[in-house]
Amino acid sequence: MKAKSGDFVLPGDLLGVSEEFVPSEGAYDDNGYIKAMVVGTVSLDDKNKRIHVLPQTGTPPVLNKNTTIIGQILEVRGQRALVKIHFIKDNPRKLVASFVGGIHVSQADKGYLAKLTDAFHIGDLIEARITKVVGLDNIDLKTSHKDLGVLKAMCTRCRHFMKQTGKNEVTCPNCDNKEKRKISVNYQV
Amino acid sequence: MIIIITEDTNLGAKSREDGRAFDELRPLKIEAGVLERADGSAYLEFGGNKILVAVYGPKESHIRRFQRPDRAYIRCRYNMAPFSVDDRKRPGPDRRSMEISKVTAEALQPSILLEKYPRALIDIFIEVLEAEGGTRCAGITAASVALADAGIPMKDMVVACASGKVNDQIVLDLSEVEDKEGQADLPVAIMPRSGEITLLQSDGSLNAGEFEKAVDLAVEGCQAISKVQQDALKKRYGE
Repeated sequence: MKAKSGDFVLPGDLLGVSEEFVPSEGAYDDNGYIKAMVVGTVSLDDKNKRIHVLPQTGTPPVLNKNTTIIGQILEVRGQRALVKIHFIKDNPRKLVASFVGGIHVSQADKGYLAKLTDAFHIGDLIEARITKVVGLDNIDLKTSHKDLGVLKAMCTRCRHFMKQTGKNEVTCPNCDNKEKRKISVNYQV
Repeated sequence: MIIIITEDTNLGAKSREDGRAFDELRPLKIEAGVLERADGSAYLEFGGNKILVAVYGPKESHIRRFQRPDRAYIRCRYNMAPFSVDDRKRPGPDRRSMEISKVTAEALQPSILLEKYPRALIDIFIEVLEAEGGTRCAGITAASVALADAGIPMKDMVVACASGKVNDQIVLDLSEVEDKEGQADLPVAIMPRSGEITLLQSDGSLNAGEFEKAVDLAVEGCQAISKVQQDALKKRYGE
């Protein structure tokens, strides 16, 4: 065993051999030798025999379960709304690829929702949480929490940004059009 | 200043124009994480060279021809500032900078675990603020530190150094005058832990023995520069 927990390592530094540990995040197997692939500190999991490197630098964002994202509604079709994921919340670094997620009608709000157009419309900026990740284009999202939902709604008639006028209601200051949304507590006026 | 101690086989050999020994590097300084808005960055001073590198990504590639279904694509831009040389350099890409951009991307490629980010793009911008010979090697060295600073998974940090032939003598780290007036120039980039060569160019004439000696000298220089690279990251992120 070469490295121990808490050691500062650089890419390519030898951490151990594959007979002892399985490489986890921040480490890789190079012909039986486990090496670091990022700048960080070593963390050993003796119970599960895993070795990983906790990065000290910023890292490319990864979409995982329970990550909160900022996205935009691309399409609302029947039972499912499609969302283009732009950023991970509180992480300004760009995503590594174009990700599209989906919100099922049952995951949009806490109670019963008759139709998805009562929660979202095309162009709305939303905050949602990831519930499942299967591949690049199969990401399930939910907005059934008070801090999740629409952050900024667009009027379907004139594309003007709308003002919140009720718990689930927004009004267009340009054409007085009233629409329903699943609004987040962080709605931007 | 970095001095490589080797067996003195050149007793009585003339010292170089700038007073350095044949196997002596110019003073080197590397700083990581100098740009706030870049994902990774580095600043390098190597003799009279001053180079700033910024790395962005991996990010979504909007240009289809830069997308690879199984891995990320590296796009590198080497640029010399108009004020970087004594005579004003005409701004914009030229044959030389396009060649250096290409060989830099190819020198860095083997060290990066590109397969972790399919369809993504990694942008590397190398800006030469002041040039005094050996900017392509200095650019590769700084780019590697910037990539590590961006948290991009790497097998090793690529390091580059040139050797060459001046006054019939094999010397390390050619200055601008030696590069222009010398008989040969041999830039080499390696992955220092494995010793794999990722870039080897040769300009001028060297016989087989001289070539071998020049490569060995360049590799020794790379190993010394690698320690400065590591120190820069240790200084930034602490041990």
